[in-house]
Amino acid sequence: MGDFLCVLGPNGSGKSTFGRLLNALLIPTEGEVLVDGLDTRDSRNTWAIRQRVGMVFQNPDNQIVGTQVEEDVAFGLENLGIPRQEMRRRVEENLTRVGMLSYRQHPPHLLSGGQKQRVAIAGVLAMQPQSIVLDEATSLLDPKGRSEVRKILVQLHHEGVTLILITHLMEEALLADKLVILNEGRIVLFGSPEEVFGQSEMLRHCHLEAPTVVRLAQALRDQSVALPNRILQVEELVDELCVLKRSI
Amino acid sequence: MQLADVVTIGQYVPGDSVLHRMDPRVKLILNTLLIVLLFFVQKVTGYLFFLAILLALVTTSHISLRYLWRGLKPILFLIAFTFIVQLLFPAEGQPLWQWWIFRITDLGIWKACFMSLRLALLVFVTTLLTLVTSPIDLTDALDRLFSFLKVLRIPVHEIAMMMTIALRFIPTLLEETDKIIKAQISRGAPLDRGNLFRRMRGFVSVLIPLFVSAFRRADELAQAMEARCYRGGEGRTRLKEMRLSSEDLWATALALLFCAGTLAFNWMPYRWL
Amino acid sequence: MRIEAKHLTYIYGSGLPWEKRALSDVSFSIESGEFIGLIGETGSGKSTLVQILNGLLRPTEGTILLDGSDISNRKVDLHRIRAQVGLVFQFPEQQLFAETVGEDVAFGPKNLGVPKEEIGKRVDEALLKVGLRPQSLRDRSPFTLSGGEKRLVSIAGVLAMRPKVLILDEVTAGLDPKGKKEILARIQLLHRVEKATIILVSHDMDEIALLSQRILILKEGKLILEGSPVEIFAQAQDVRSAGLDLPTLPRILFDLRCRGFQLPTAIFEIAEAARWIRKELFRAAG
Repeated sequence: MGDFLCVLGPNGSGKSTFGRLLNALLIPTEGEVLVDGLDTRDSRNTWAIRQRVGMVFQNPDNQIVGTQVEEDVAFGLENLGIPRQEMRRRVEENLTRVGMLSYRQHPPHLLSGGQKQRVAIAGVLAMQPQSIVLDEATSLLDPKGRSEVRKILVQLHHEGVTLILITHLMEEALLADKLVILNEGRIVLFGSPEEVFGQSEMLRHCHLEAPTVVRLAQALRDQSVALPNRILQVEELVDELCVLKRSI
Repeated sequence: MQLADVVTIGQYVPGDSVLHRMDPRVKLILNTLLIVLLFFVQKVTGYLFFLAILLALVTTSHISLRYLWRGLKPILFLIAFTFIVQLLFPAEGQPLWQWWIFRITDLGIWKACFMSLRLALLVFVTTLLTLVTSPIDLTDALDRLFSFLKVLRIPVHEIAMMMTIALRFIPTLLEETDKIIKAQISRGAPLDRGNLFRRMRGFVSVLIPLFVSAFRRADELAQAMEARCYRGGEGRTRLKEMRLSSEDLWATALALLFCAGTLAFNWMPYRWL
Repeated sequence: MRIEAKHLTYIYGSGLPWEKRALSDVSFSIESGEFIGLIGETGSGKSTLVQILNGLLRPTEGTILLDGSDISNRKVDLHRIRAQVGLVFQFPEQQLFAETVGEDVAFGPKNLGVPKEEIGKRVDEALLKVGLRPQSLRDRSPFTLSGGEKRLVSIAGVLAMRPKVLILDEVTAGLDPKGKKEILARIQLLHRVEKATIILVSHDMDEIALLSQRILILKEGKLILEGSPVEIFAQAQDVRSAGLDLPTLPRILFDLRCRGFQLPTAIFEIAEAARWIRKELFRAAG
């Protein structure tokens, strides 16, 4: 609960399959998935599970149903049979949360990719799930859109929402508490970002690469520069190096 | 700014007039009423009265006549055609002129005016409806009005949902079409030049990718809808309210008066006037 | 092929309420065989510029010369231009339509009127250029291919027209790191072997900086920066004002330089950067 987990892996590693197993869009061939104690294989649990585990998909367009933003955010609530007053309240609250309230009556095709994804997130949040799975939700966005979405994720994490981010972009892994690396359908690495990024051999095997900052910090450590273990951001590295320079 | 901006669906023009604010279900019913009325009018003066009231309605809606004209343009050909056929192949009346298989009779002239006027007014009325009511409101109204048909196992909700989704995706699909056309033109596809046959071959290169993409979208959308607990029409509530207001009641009353007035012309002395 | 753009301006919907100035007074020249990176935020005018270059759009003002001939002239047959300036759109696999890969790749040459006997040769040649094997793919349906393969087939479709200039719009969009690396390597190879003029359009500074000989930066329809990667990195402020940022490594080095580290500008490798930084730290120690 309240974790921010990032699932990484090359294409074909089973990341998306994994995501869909969590909200019963797919049922496991072997093994089981329990959401709050509910087994996904039991079809009587399906709707309860999907209310608890929300999902944001990769293509911003192909998950928006409404002809106006607020209509789409209300879609999930309409499906759950939420009374109108409560629906209105939740729609407004969650549009504000993602910063899209002023667009409430906009038609979706006039929005940018980042804005559409924010609307999708609001639509999922309105259903008050316990956790949200984001299946490569930023991979089709431009840099601006990606940073918009990432800001929201950081904010939601602060608010205690459990997030499961499925991605192949290494920079996004830096936002998470824990990382899981999948390759060819198996978990090959698991741990905190520093722990995982330290395993360059395994990463290379999966055709992944630690972010530039991490690699540079490691290269410096290899040359006996005394940097702390956990350096993930550019600012951190620059600050640490300046501290070192002054202290020498 | 491309295809999607030029093609306006249903010609809806946003506004804040009484006509805009009325409950869409009432608008739909009154519209149907007016259309039925048109088939009972027997005098040209009746039609002219109808037209006058219609123009008054248009003024209330604050929509410029230009838009109505746009709605009429596609049918102009049909109206002209109807007029000519009625004129030259009359069913009755005293012949005034004859040549080969064509004839013009006195009653024929009236009938021609009649039929074309009726057709024009029909289109006029429906165009007005679509100008003051957004497509989504219309779909919603149809959904609510016909929901009683569920008893007959007719999937009213599902049909309405299909229409809503189609409306939602029209601009998106238009954008995609535009992009595909550009991509194929860049490969030399004969889409902007050449004879009809060549152009048709060119269109295959646009239609197929569009279809493939549409199916993919449908699949992804279905998954997204299920992920948000969509399971058909059972137990769904609605964000949008539709409530009858005093404006709706007044409008209905006026409409009935209007019907009576138009029909009254039927008792005028002359055959067509 | 030499490209010269002079004072290009493009206005969408001129005179209408939604009039928009997509490009304003853009001028530049590209020599034959150069590898150019074109970068800018969404809405900066990149797509418009690129569509003017291949004749899809005619500039509202300004001229564009391909090998000296003015294609903005009304009389010019744009069809021929498209054969010489090949444009690969973003997500090009969405335009695949034929029953077999061979047929799809042949679409371009066929439209250009290439004689039947030669088309087969061109198809095979194009498939090889993108690293695919003609024998195994030629008769397969394009819809049975993997995402990466589909993309390569669409690029082959443009290459089959033997364009003198190849413009690639966001060619790595939606690919995972491995896919990105592979496709960029392929493009680099094309540049070296075919000596084609290549214009890579992207949002990603890392990509552009790695491969381009020269970079053009657009902002709100204007060309605000132009130069080699090294020249551009020296002007981080201007780059940032365009809504972009330097690639990570130059960015780190720039920030360090601002804080007093003396580091050369032209460092592109992590190992090299590490050595220089270490040297700086020990130099400070005296």
